[in-house]
Parts: sequence; C-alpha cells; structure tokens
Amino acid sequence: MRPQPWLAATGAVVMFCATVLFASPSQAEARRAVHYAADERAAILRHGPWPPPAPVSALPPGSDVRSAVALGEALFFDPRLSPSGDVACATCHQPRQAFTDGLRRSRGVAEITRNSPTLWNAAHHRWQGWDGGADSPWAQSIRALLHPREMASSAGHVQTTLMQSAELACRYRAAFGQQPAHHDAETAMVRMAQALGAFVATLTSPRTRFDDFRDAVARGDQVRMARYPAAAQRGLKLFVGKGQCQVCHAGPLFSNGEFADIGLPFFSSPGVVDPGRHGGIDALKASPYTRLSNWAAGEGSTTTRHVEQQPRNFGEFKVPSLRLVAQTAPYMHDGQLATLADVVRHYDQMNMERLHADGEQILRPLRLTEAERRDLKAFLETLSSPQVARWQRQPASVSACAGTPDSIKR
Amino acid sequence: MKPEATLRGAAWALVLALLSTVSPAAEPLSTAPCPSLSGAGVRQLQHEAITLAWKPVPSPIPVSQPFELELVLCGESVTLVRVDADMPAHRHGMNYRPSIMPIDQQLSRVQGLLFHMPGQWRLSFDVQRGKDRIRLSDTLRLP
Repeated sequence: MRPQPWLAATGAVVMFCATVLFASPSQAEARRAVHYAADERAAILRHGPWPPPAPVSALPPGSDVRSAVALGEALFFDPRLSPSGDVACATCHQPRQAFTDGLRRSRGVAEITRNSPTLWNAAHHRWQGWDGGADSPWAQSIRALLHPREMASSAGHVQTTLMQSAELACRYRAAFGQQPAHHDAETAMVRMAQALGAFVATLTSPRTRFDDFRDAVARGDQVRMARYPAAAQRGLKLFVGKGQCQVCHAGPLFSNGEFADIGLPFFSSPGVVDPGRHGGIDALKASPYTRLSNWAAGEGSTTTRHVEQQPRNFGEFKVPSLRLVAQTAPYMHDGQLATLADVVRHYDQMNMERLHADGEQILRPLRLTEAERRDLKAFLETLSSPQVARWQRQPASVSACAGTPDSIKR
Repeated sequence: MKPEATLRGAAWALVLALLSTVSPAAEPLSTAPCPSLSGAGVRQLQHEAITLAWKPVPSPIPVSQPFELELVLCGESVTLVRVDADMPAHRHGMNYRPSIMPIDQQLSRVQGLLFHMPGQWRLSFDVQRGKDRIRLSDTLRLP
C-alpha cells in the first residue's frame, strides 16, 4: 500500500517538530552566544584565572599560622578591642553583608567619612583603604583600631584586653609562642593586628558565573560559553569594548589596585576636602607599621618604597575590585551612589566639568542606551557569589583554648 | 748634587718607565666595549654617541604589577640620572618614582616601575653628559 501524501507531510512536520523540541541543548545554546573579536577575547581572559594563589600573611618567624588565623577570627568579632566595648571589626565588616555594613558612611564610635569596603580579597590588594594609607591588611587594622571615630583604641587597651581574657591569651600564646603580658603594649598590638591580617588573608571570594564563562572562552567551549546569560555576555562586551572599563578595573580582581579621580565630589562635609590618595600617602609615609618596617619581618615592598605623592592625588580614591560588586552597595568612597544602576548612570552621563583638572583623561560619558545599561548591570551581577552570604565562622580550632573561662558569648 | 743621589734618581726614573710599559694601560671609558643585554624584550636607543639598551624584568611588562629594568648606558662621560614614564594620551605618569641602582660603570638596574593600565606608555631616560642633560625616550604599548 503506498503511503498517502498527507501522511508523508504529517510525518515530515512531526519529524521537524521533534528535531526542534528535542534537539541537543548545545545547538540552541550555541546559537545564543555573543561574538567577541580577538582583542575582546584577550581582554576577557585577562580577568582570570580565579582564584589567584593564596596571599601570604605577614606573621613573625616561628608563628603558628593556623593558630594566628583562629586568634584573628576571634579578635575580629570581639568588641572589647574598643574601649567603649561595643565596636568590633565586624561592626563595619559584617559577614552577612559581604564584610561591609551596607551604610553610606560607616559608623564606629562615631560616623566616619568613608564607606566600608569589603574585606573579601583585601589581602590581594597592594594598598588598603580608599586612600591606600596602609600597605597590608594588618597595618590597616591598626589604623582602624586607633582611629578616634572608628574603634578609638590604643596599644595599651589592646594588651590589657588580651591579658584579661584567658581565651584570648591562650590563643595568642598558641599563635606567637608567648603570653601577651611578655610583650610590650605595642608589640602585643602589632601581633594582634598580624593575627587579624592572617584571618583576612583567608577571605578569597569563590568563583562566579563570570569565571566559568571566562574559562570556557579560554577553552573555546562554545557550549559552556552560551550558558552564560545573553545579557551578561552583551554587558561584558561593553565592559571590555565601548566602555573601556577594564582599563582601570583590570585583571582577575577587576581592579588595577591603584587610584583614580572619576569626577566625584570629594568634599567629606561642606568646605572640608577629603584628601583621598594624597592624604593616604601622607599617612603611609608617617606610619611605623608599613611593610618596610621592622615589624614586617623582612617582607619588604617595592611599591611602598617607591610610591610618590603628586598633586593629582587629591580627588583620587582606590579603584575598587568589582568582584561581589552587586553585594556591596552603596558605592564609592563615601557611599554616595546607592545602587549599581546609579554607578552605571554616573559613568554613562559623566559630568566632564566636574572631572578635576588632572582627572583621568580616558573618561568620557558612555552615552549608553537603556538596554545597554541593563546589560552592563547584568554582567556586573555575574561577579556575585551567593556563597559569601553563607560564610560561617570556623569552629574553635585551638582545642586547648576552647571552653576556657571567659569565653565570649555571642 | 752628589753623584749617588743623581744615580738613584735616574734608577727610579728607569724603574717607573719600565713599569709603565709592562702594566696594562687603563682603557678609557669612552672606548670600553659596550656590553649587550640578552634575553627577551631588549630595546636599544641611540643619541649621537650615546647608546642605551634596556630590557624589562619580567618580560613582557605586566599591567599593574611592579617591574624593573636592566639597562646598559654607553658613551663618553655619561651618567643615567633619572628614569620615568607617562601615558601622553592620558596625561598622567606613574604613581611611583623609580630608583637607579648602578651595577658598574655601564650597567644599572632600575627598580620601582609600575604601569597601572594598558595602553601606550612613554619611557624617559635622562642622561647627564658633562653640563648637558639629554633625554632618550621609548614608547611601548601594553595590551
């Protein structure tokens, strides 16, 4: 019996539909991939690989690193380091807020003029703080500890706190081999700071959807590339192309680690200029706690040794890393931009007259379409990691100290 | 003058004359051979009788990471006095002031450089020759 024409046609339609419906997902996905030119691919690859090698925490010779990290973590959450008894490092660097505090301007014992930067990946930066006034996390912790509006503490208070807590003294001895009472106050404070630095050095953010995409680009894996959201792909193309964002937000950290003036007002209050990087270099050169000091156990730093203060440093603030950017609102050195959309709008509609005379000459208004602004934001959001909100404190790892009297109840 | 003193003086003069003929003469700096740099990224600049060769360490120059230069400077009575860099299109220089560490009369190591963004950079080498200061420049692009 010969097949009827209508039957053949129906079969063809059914076969066609089946092919479309049940086609390999790879084919459909591959069709969604954005095309990148060779230079764009090269730029994308330079934003990885991630994670980078673990940073080396600066501890004195003979220290027990694991114990120092445990001590640092305990100190990080301990409000007794401030004489007021109610400000800890964690007050401004809250784990659930990606180690920021979500405020426009942070508040220690009083409101300060700066926004709290995240501590994720801080140990991978050569300069700490918006003004780069410290060249290591441990030195930066001393700045915050002693700042009259942050923790308003002192070396003497730190040593007393360490001595009066059996648990902290136990952890200190496990880390550094001596009781805090056997050191002078300044040494005890520096050891405390170095323990905090060792803890901060453990905070390397997890991989993101962008990292998976970047690695797929490196392998030429079109299928995996196409799984990255199309809007993010378009936004990334803007980031490395028309936007030229990667010029400053460079490398795996999405920051060149240096400073820039991007046309933001730099008055911290009416008539009061925030000196930015200029003040940061003053602070660095006046600090006895740099990587060139005797406290740094021969660590050294070619950048600390050669940094040069220049007039253009006024109005410059550190180029922040964009990793986790969607989780660290508000933005800029004083939190003046509330949302990521505000940030994109700032660069999109940059006021060139506000850009200071020595400001970065590569900046100009991007003049993006509404769709392009959404795409750029979509890309930035793929630098997030939901895991950071689930960060947990480690169980007490120094069993000899856990459960000692005077354990802090939190 | 006593004959003995005259004789001793002549003898010393003869000894000194003999010594000067057997001692290797110190080669004037201007004619000393100019050492060459080896390895990746060597570049050479020339200004009249001045030759300057440099290479970055590491090579290629990484963006926003510290690097150094190995540098050879050859010429009569020349001294390297300053090394700097800028991005003419961006109207800014580096955030760091490099330092020069002489290794010998012609070889130096320059430390503390950092190019904090990709693009076109201009390296400047200031050389003192007598009362004159001469600038040699080289441009390179970081991807």
